[in-house]
Amino acid sequence: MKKGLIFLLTGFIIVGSVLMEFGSCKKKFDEPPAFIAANISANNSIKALKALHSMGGLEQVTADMVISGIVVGDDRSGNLYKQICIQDSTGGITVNLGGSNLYVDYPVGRQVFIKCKGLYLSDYNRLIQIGLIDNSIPSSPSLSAIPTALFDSFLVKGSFGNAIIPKSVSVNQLNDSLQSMLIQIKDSVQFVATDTALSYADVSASKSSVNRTLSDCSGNKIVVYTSGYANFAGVKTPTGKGLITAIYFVYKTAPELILRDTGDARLIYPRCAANKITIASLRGLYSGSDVLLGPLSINGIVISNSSNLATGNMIVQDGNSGIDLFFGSTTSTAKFNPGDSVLVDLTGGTLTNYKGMLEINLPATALPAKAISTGRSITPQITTIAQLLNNISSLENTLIQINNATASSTSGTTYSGNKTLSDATGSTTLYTSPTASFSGSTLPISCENWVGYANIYTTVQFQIRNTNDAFASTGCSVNKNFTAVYAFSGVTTTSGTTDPTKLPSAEGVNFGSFIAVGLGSNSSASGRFSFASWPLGATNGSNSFTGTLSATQYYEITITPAAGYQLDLKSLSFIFQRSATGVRQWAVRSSIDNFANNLTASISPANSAILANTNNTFQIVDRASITAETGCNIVFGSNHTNLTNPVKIRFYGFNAESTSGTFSLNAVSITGSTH
Amino acid sequence: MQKVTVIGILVFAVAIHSGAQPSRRSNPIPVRDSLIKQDSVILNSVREMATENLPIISVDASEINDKNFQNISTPVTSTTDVFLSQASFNFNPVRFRLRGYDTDNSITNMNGITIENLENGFAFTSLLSGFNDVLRNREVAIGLQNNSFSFGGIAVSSQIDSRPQKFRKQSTVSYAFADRGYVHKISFTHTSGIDKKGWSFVYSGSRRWADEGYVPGTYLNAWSGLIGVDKKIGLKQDLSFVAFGTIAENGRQGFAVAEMDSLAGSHYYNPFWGYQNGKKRNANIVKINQPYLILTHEYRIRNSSSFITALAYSFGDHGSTFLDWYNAPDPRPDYYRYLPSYQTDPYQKFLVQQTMMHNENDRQINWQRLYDVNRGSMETIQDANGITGNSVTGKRSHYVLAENIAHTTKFDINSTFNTVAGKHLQLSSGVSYQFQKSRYYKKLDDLLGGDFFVDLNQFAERTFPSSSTANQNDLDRPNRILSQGDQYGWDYNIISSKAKAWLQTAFTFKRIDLFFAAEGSDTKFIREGNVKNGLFPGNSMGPSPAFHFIGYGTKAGITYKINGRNYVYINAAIISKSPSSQNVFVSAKTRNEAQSNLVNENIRTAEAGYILHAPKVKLRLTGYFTRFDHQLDVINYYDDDLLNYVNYALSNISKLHYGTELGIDAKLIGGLSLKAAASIARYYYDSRPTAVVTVDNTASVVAKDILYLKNYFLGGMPQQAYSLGFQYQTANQFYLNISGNLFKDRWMDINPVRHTYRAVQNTVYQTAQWNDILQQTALQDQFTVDVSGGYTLRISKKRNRHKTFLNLNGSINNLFNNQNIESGASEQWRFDFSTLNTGKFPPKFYYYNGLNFMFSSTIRF
Repeated sequence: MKKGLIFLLTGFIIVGSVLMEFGSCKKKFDEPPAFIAANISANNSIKALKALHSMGGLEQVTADMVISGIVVGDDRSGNLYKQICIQDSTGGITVNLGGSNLYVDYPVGRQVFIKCKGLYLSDYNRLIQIGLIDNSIPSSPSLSAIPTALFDSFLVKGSFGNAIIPKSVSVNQLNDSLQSMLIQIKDSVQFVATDTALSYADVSASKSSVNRTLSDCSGNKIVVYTSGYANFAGVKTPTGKGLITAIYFVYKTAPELILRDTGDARLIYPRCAANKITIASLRGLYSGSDVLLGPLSINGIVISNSSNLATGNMIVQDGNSGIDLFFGSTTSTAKFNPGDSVLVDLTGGTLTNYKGMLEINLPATALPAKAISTGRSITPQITTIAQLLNNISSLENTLIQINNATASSTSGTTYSGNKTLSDATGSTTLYTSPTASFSGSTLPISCENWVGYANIYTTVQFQIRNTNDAFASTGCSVNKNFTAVYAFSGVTTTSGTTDPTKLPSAEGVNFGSFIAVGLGSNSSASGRFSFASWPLGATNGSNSFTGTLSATQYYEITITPAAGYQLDLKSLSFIFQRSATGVRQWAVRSSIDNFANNLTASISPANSAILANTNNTFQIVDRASITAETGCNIVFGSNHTNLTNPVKIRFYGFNAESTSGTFSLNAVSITGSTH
Repeated sequence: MQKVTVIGILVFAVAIHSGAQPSRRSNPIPVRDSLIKQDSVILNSVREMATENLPIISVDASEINDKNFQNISTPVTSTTDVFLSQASFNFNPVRFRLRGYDTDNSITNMNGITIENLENGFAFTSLLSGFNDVLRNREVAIGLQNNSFSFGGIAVSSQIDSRPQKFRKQSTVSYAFADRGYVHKISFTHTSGIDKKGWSFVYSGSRRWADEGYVPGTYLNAWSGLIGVDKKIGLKQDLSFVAFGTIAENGRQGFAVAEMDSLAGSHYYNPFWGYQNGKKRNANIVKINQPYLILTHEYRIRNSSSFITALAYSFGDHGSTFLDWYNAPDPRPDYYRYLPSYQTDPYQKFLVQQTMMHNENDRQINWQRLYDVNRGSMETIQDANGITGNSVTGKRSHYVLAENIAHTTKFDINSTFNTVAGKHLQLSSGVSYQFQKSRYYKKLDDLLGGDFFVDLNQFAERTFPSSSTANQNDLDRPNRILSQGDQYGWDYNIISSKAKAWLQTAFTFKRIDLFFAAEGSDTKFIREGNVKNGLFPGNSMGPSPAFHFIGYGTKAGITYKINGRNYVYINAAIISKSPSSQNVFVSAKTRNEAQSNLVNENIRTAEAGYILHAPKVKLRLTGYFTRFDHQLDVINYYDDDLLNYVNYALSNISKLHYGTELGIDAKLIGGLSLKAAASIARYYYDSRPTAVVTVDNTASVVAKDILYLKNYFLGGMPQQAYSLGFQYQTANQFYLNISGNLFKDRWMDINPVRHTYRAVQNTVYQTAQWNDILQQTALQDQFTVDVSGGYTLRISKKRNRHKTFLNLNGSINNLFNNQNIESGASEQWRFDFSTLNTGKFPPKFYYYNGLNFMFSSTIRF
């Protein structure tokens, strides 16, 4: 037992100590020494190396050239692929190296020596590169990347963390000698308006590379080229201006800048101040075709209501000129109201003609963030519709006022859509967009003064901003012209002394029926008002008249202005007819002077059968005529204007040849207006 | 006694014990002699020592097809079966497995406990190396033979009895010198025998090491030990406790393509190492440390009945290191894009070839460069550790050494009951319950000169460049700054349990033996994620649904004893085997997703044979036929074209194995005897499995393929193997053995993906290109010659009634230095679908050592 225990104890101790010893004995590998730079130095410059190359060729370096450079561009962001760019004081060159993640071995700032003997020089669309030849297709040898296994045969790694000062050049000084070097554009640059706030490259599945254009404040441009595989491809280009650092590449004859990452483009300062221009001068720039605008800006007052325009539009006026600005169909301009003063940068915008109207197409980013001031007022220029139509090009999109005009609608009673606006001089389209805030309000039908702006959308149209833009007018005399015709179609030989025909109607005036007073009881014909028993005084075949009109024998109508209207009578015309022994003279008198005088008579159109005497009586010349004669015309004097009381018109026939001779009226047409 | 103690303290040695009782096939009661006789067949023991010395070659399993690629398990298959004892040693260069079966068809028990990894069914055989002397006591059943301790696997079922009471009092000290897996081995074993009070003890330990093995860059550093204590309780009961384990560290050898071997001018090119400060440093090291504790209680109810219950607890780590990197060029020197074959220009090809051929450093890992890169990359990490605004600046490693760790805890309980009822019936039965929890995670081993590493998934970053969550391995701790020793990447548990019950009735009559056996099992497992993966936030953390399978099997056999020497037998079995968790989870590292179509594997097998057991001739001739159906498999590998990890979930795999095996041991005149073994068989696929291919980053199904695999051979072992040898032996003193081995009909492991419609749709039927894609490459026949010999010297000191012996042994394998024997040859998983050029990803090989030797000296006293 004792033996056993001793054995067991021994065993435990031995086994246990062995296990413990092994557990603590973890072999730790000695760390290798820190990097020791190799003993090598350059015997040539990069410029001398590149001089061996002629564009389009593929040359092998046969001399024992050793160059050295600092890495200025690596593939960390993915914008470069299988390439690094190195430069020394004389120039830069792009080195084609196989594999990915080269930056861990050759990061920016590392010094690299290249033993060029055996390598090949070529160019990719004039960008000089060094690598190895790929003869796999003997008919078309090309430059390929140096395979990983051969890196150490040609490249020798140097120290880390060497500083490079980018060379400061202006856009105009960019030239081939700067290829593959790190440069900084001397002047501040900004992305052109159409290239701001867009992704650096294409992030869709095709991952294509994209050019974005930079411009300095003088308008000199340079392209930034970014690969779709860069890890910053989806980042939006900055909207400001500032200094840009990049590697200079060329593509054929076009220079391009390659960013290492977004830190190379610190464009955080306010953009170039665009030159101010008046809208009048701006409009003057258009001469028939689209104009791409340089760095220009305008300061104008908003006169449009965004809800009455298609989305994206805004109309501004400066002085006596106005213009429409279009910021894209998805950009809302609702934050600006009439009276807001805004400053708009037009750089990169396009001055164009859209359906007859001048407008400027701008990117959404050009919409100002807010107004400089609000509540500015513009005095509208008073104009008539006729003047507007004549001067639309100078009045376009400025604030105007049309007085004493009336709107009328052929469909609906609200503002929405196309309506007609008429004043005394003419009429034009009043257009309200269905999206306008007031489009559902009732369209006023009375004569008002209207404030708004007009432009051309194929044809001229006038728009208001709100219902307050149409206000009551004192001088509103929008006359409603009328022409009332009595056709006597209901007259028969038994219809009595009152014409039963349906009366003509016109706005603002009521017409009474013809009555025959002191004459027979029925018309002698149907379809016209024809009665006999007129005063005698003429004999057949003779032109001497002995009779006069009778105050008790006449035709009469009463014309009454409607409540709230005033009546102007202008003229009256009718067709005269007599029987063989009918009247030889007739006249028309009005109740305004209590039937004292004959109203002014004339024959128009000329009719040789009848004439008008100087005493304003009509006379039949052709004694034999019994046919209907047109041309009897009465002109009312100025005492027949602004009538508010009923007026009676009487037709007297006299100097009939017999008591059975008739005098008939037909197609009595009265023209006038009410207001 | 004191001297013994001194020796025991100073030197460890292994005692070459006799004691391997031949398993008497017809007697189901386990043989448990309390006195172990000295083994007269020293050759076997020497061979054992030699075989457990063979290099542990575990390669990056993601690169090759063969999932049976694990540490060699030869000590376990050591047996006196006349065929297998020769085959397991002679056929080892070509990785012979009995009947071509996968390793999960074998069972290894120790003191009543099954030593196996529940997740794949493989035995933890590397744990049993280093103290073979105490493992000599075994019952081994081959094929469908019945045994007393389990239902049995269909390959080799063995139970090792290492309880101290089984050994007589002896001590052994040994030293061996070799040039294989180890260069030096010293071992010590002491068994005390049973003392008067019923106590017995055993302890055995060894230290094996090799600064560099046969293959450059490989090394071994191993300590093994076993201690046991045993107490007889009364006459009927024993209680034993055995604790054992191996702590080993092994620098591995990698598979390589033929192009690299020819650039290196050797078949033993190893891509896994490079010089660091002038010393070879291997990036792929396997570390194991998994002790086992087994408590066994035996209750002998009567002389003919016994009830054995065993409890076991095991815990430990298995780790394998590898280079990991982030957004940096591939550090592996044999990455295909660095090779001459990848360059299109002929001059560039030539330049690369010359550079690699003449500079060893260009063929191996450039450690200096990895340190330089890490030291030169000063970076700032924004929002580090998930804290907004927290930026960390320092040297950010782009290359690190990572370790793939499996931390396993296992608990087993197993009861076996054996009894004899009447004259003819032997009844055996058992119940067992196994529970295993393994935590798999990646550990940062070495920052290689940097200050920190960041826990990000670079493959997800490539697929989802704009997402800030997809690239997180741990969404709860994003952008984690890692230091040495931290876990990163994946972290998940597999928790499995298996309850089993079996019953066997064996009848022994005068002429006929027959048996029936049946088994049922209930297996459960889940995956439990410990981190929320950014690619699969809803499916990675927390438990998966539980998977539950019922398995069963029945076995029966009949032996006809023609006479006492001649036996014929026939056995058959039908088994329904539950899938293992490794073949169920599609990508256990990232998510809980499992294969659909989870069904049990069906095994139908039969064997018939003839045994001759005469004093001069021992012979066994067996024919067998086995069919596997509905096998599942999951393979993960990195696909270079998709730049992503890809998962292949295979189902409905069928395999057919049939053939004969023959073993002869015939004594000729004098001390000369003839030994021969032959295995002639066919192993091939017999179905068209379905493969579901998913890209690991998105779990999207990339393809669903039918694999046209019918009649393609299983690679990895010869379909014909022959061995013929002669042995000369004088009584217990001297022996010499020379044998020649021939391996034929060897085939390369195929890449199933090439056998799909997708792979050949753009090529014309039966043109040269078509054949190139589909043809399975036959490997060349190989021939080896092995020599071994030994001498025993009796140094009698007349103490303890036992004699002291000195054994000198040696063996030389591969006498003619055949360096062309491919031990492993498989087509790569990657296949270029666009060019259909099989040469882009050529097959990978590794080769058996050329001439190798082992010499040992042992003192037993």
